[in-house]
Amino acid sequence: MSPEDQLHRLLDQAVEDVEPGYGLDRIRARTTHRPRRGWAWGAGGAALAAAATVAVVVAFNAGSGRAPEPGPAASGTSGESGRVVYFVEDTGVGPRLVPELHDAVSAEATLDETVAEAVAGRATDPDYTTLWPSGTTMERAQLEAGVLTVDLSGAVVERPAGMSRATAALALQQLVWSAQAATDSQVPVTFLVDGRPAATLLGESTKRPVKASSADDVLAPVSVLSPGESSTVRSPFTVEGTASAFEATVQWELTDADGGAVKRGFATAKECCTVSPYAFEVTAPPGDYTLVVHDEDVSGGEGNPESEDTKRVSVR
Amino acid sequence: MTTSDRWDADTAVESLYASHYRQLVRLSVLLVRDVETAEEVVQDSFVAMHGRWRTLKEPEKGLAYLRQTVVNRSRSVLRHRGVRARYTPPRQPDPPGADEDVLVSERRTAVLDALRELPDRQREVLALRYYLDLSEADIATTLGISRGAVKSHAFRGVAALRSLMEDPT
Repeated sequence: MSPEDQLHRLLDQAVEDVEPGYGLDRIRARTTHRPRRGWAWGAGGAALAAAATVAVVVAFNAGSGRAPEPGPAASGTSGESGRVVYFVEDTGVGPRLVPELHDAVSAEATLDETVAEAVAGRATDPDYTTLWPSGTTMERAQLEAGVLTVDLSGAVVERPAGMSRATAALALQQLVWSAQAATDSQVPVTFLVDGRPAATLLGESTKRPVKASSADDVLAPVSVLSPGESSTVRSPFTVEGTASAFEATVQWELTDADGGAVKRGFATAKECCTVSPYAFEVTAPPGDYTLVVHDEDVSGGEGNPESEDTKRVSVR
Repeated sequence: MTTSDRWDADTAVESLYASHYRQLVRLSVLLVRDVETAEEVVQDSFVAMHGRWRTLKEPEKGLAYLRQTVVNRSRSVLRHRGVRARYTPPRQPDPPGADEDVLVSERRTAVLDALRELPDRQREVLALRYYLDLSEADIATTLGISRGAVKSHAFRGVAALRSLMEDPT
């Protein structure tokens, strides 16, 4: 037997007695009851009184570097607490960037991992995705002598059929924001394709290094950074994220498997009408919930449609 | 795999569950060791795939997404092992059977133990290469790393596994 075959055999044998239980019902239970928000603002004063909003924490873990302040570098310094990777979510105002907190990796691997995860859309939140065509790979990312380079491979030079220019530009921003966050820098990104300078990427000019666009132009109106998708928390837990909401107010609900709101409340972001951090505390009995944080259309339908971010959380 | 490109999300879950659930759980066991944890990881991955089926649309992409998600979540479970241990009771060893079974079972344990000693990337590359039989290109895509990196992780992984198996300390 060749060494290769031996390895095959070894690994096959190692797990050949693993017979998983019947998991389909458990998967179905979580996919068919997609929890929905079943509550509208103003539904009743009693409900409002029951809201579990506690003090709004304005200062956002000062110094932890985790809070996305406007500008990717400030939001995503990497360290013990993790890295920020930017993905894309459909919001009321179209696709926008959303930060997701990923586990820290070694300092040398941080930039590479972060950009590779962004390109591949390796988000934990199922609502988060990448704009990069499937088959795109990140070959190398580096910050050397003050030059931040991202080298891609795949069919990335032309804008794919069906992709708008705005979307193509946002795809580039997804990587610029991720790379700057990973390096805690504001260095514009020099894009390469297969190791060579690229004149265009997804049809967008990349002859010159690409700068980060402003937070208000690219970030989602509402996003939740913590707790992360499918995380287990102890009650009470703190919810942190960023929002650019009317009167700086975001609303939230904690819904159970049937979609009924168990808890709800609102929180105020630090500043109005620009992307700024918010935080609030939630107290809830043990159980599996969906946390929904959303902005509010107060203009009677004339303004932008609502945007929301949802996270599944288990309270233990 | 059948090529039904008009699957809805529920059908995709059911079909890919039927064809790949067991294999994906086994893949995750190679990565995280614990069967219960592996099942959780794979179930979570199916739920995640269901959620983004509208962007995947095709069975092949669904499966690629599942693989990628299983590998990533297995890795993050390992990083949170300390936390998870509180919720996942350690699995009881299988009851010993005939002598031959014991031998096989010991070797099995040795392989899983040795895999746990490897750095994440090496373990992942070995599992994808030698358990799932993925090509270098597919492994590169699954892990989001270059083919060159796949080669070097595989090379180092094989060497490390070998020395761990020969010299179990």
